[in-house]
Amino acid sequence: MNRTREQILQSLRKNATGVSPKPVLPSPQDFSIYRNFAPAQQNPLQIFAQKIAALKGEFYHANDGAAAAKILREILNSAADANIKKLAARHQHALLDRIFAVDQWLAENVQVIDHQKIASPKFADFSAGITAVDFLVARTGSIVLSTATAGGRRLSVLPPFHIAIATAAQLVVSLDDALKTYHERGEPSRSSYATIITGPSRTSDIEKILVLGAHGPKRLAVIVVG
Amino acid sequence: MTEFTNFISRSAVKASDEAHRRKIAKAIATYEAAVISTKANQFSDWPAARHLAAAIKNYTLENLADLLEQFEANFIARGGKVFWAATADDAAHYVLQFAHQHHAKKVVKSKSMTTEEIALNEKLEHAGIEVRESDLGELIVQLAGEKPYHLVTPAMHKSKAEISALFQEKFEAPPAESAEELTMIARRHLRQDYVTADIGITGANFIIADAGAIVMTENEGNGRLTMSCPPVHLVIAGIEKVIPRLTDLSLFLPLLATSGTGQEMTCYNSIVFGPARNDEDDGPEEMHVILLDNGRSQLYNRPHFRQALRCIRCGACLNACPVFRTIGGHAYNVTYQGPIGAVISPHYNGLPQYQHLAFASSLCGACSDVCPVHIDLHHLILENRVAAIRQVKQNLFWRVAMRMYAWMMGSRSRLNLMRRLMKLGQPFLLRFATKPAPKLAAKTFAELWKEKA
Repeated sequence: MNRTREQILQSLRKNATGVSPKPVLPSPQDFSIYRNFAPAQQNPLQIFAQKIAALKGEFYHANDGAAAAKILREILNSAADANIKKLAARHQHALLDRIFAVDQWLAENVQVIDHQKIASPKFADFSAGITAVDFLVARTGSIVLSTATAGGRRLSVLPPFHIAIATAAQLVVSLDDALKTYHERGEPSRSSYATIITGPSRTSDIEKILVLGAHGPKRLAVIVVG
Repeated sequence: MTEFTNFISRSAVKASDEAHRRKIAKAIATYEAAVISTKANQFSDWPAARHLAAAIKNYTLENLADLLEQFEANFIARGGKVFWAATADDAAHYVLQFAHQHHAKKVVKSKSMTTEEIALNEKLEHAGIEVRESDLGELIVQLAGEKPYHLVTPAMHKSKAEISALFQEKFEAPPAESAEELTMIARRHLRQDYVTADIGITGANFIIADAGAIVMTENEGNGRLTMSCPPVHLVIAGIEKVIPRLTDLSLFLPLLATSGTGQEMTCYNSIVFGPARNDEDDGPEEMHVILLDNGRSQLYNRPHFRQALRCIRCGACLNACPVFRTIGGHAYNVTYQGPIGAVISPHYNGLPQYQHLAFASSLCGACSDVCPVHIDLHHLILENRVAAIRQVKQNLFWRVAMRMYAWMMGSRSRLNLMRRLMKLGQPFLLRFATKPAPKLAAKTFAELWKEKA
């Protein structure tokens, strides 16, 4: 509470009352500004799949946990890198536990991390980070995750490959739906950090040429169960 | 008017540098193609989206003090700290003091124009603290010892060959030909910086009042690493960055991505509600948000100019501006280039030094047309130009010429008289012309009209 604070606020208050009538706060739904797609004719999951493919991400659909485990095994094998010591890391989460429980190979080869013991450089030992998510957003092909659902801030960004596992029930149509639900959760279930991920890490800073894997994961795969 | 003459000579050099113009033309053409298709794919009514965004920002500005307080209360409740900085020096001083108290040796930064505004890198380095820019474009200009060329695309002016030479020199990297190889060199080099830095510093694209959060938008992941690995996260944000509700992001994120880079959404949009909670596994133990005024409340006090505080720094006005496309970002010699810079810089930094910016415009209005929050940029530039001309004592020749012009235009008969004199004098005057000038017509329109009638 410094004096500057009072000065800035006072100045803003003194000079604020310039407009009449006072501006009202519009609702983002007041206008139909987005290009519509008809969810009745097109399955939102299909839209999500198309969007994520266009972003150079990978989309997999599994009917149940066993099918998800099979897909996971295949993509982990494809990601195996001779330079990287360990195959993958995941965190503890009900959905992930359920999938890993049905597959002995996964349980043996994927390390369950305990963050207190893992220093940031250690994440370089994993060729992939496996996390759960909060939401999938059909319209933009985004995934929303937070510290609580994704095993902290680092697991989804430090390894070169991020595998996100979600249930079909976590799919929402628009970003607005996801943000509204997230906000309404309120304290204390809200994490300190959430991120909306739309495709694998990318940059066009050099001659506007698209390169994947600038600083975050070069590969992003989403497995939807159910 | 030395800064003005310097500006003219810098511009003249850049305008005739064909290699430079080719690079910029290519980058902007790529950008424009992406923007056109993204607008069409994503928005059914782009004008309505712009109006909606401007309306939300107008509401925000009218209630700015309340919304800032709301953000502060929510953010502090979650263990964050807020510092209010009146000037650039105040903000930089707070960071330096913090760094000294914590014996920090190394800072990793993600791209932030606000830290450029307060010249933070220079001040930290002067105090013996290592600063590492982590955004690829920012890293390139940092290594080259330059300022960002463009507020969204800092290394727009660098070719692959130039960047390869730079990486060879500074990183002892092998020569690289493709953008892919160059990006991977930067990736490998920066990995250790995230994990060894004592402090991570970022800007904020938005401050959310109802959620008490800051939002940072990026594509590379360097921002996420900057706010995940180091034990401290410092944020420097202008007081105008506020939006009222978390859900407003569902408009502003696509809007910013579309206008900024022609993407529907940028790759990572991180919402940070505070430092790591006790029950969380990782994240910074401390998080401070520095709210920077530095002239913004001055701009706020001027009813016409207040709309410039709606700006979300997408850079669309730079890309649209024929002057920017010709002279590039460095000729302006300011933190914020292009039309938005010409509007706000004199108010942030004092007119005398920055009056040249008011002339760095053709007043064509291309900037106002593309602005996603409907800022009437070219009219504000014109207002700055009027102020610049009023403030500076013009030379005698200029004053006499303008007086004569006013006298001549004041009546029809004086205009006719002057035209006749001009016609007699033109062959003589044309000898001094620096470029081809059209000859005065034999008869005026009024004379021709009379003859035909």
